[in-house]
Amino acid sequence: MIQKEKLFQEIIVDNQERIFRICCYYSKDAEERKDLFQEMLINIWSSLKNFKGESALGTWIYRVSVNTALNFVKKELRYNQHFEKLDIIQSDKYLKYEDDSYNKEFEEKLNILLSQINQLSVIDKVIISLHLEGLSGKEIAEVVGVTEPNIRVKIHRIKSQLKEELKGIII
Amino acid sequence: MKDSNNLQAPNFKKLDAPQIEQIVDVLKQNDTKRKRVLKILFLVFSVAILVYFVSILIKDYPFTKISQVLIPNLVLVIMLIGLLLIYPVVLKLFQTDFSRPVLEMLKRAEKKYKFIDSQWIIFLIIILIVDLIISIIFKLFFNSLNWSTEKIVLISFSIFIPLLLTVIIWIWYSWKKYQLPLKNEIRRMINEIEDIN
Repeated sequence: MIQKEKLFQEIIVDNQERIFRICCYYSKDAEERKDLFQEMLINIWSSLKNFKGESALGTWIYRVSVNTALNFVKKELRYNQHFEKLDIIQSDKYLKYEDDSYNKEFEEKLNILLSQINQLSVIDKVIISLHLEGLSGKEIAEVVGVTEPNIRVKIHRIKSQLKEELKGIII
Repeated sequence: MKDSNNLQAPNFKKLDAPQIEQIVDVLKQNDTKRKRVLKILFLVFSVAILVYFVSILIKDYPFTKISQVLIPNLVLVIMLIGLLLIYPVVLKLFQTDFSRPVLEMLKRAEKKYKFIDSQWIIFLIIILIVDLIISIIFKLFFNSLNWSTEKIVLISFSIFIPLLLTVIIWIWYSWKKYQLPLKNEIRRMINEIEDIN
């Protein structure tokens, strides 16, 4: 149990920003993002017993995060309404927003990009979000469960599509 | 894996060590609560089976002549013990492993949302066995009333068939309303991933 706690703490300290960024691709709403972030933490905790070191820890974290996000999308589809908030973790207590490093122009561009990514299909969103996170084609292939060359082709197609749609807006 | 600098989470403030410790505490408490609930359920169910078993033995004591009621009752006890033993295994089967590749997860989820699968066949077999046992108990119990076998079978069926139909219709309705759209959406995602290959 102590080893599990230690590993969990290490994972969260090292990867919390990455995990939170994944949330941003799947929800526009700040509160929903926090809920999704909580779910990801819970699933990382409960899946830790299954981590055998067969894949890199980073890939493993992305798998849990992406699968949680897809599950979240499914639930949204199911209830077609906002989720009832989990009260086991009071997210406001842990997640805070700071205004001092606020870069309005950057955030506007980011929001345009995110909203364009949000127009993509769920699977395209999974692939491009992992690509934007800096994962290699091999790592994305491991997360999704397909071959690397096909992922490369898919990324190229999505990029072209995004470039076309964002022409004159932020490019 | 390089950290991407071109896209950052807007206004995200990192969790510090004490906050993570608090999260770990909440998660640990949750684990403990769940384990405790399962343990209590297991104990209550075990005690109930034991009490039932003792009561049917007392009824037949001093065993000079074992009654015909004892046999179906013992079968029922064995079935309940079996259910008790397979419960943790079934519980594990239904737990989702979020660390599997996306395609594998989606395929498992699609299987879970199927209307008819092997679980249904097991469910029907259990219902039939329970019906059979209760029919035997009914027959033995109502023998003193001189009821015919046909009448007992009719009573037994008149209870179980509408019950079974109600359960099936209710499951089918909720599956169609809630799970079928999800299953279709999951299938769409699987097709999309498989089209990549």
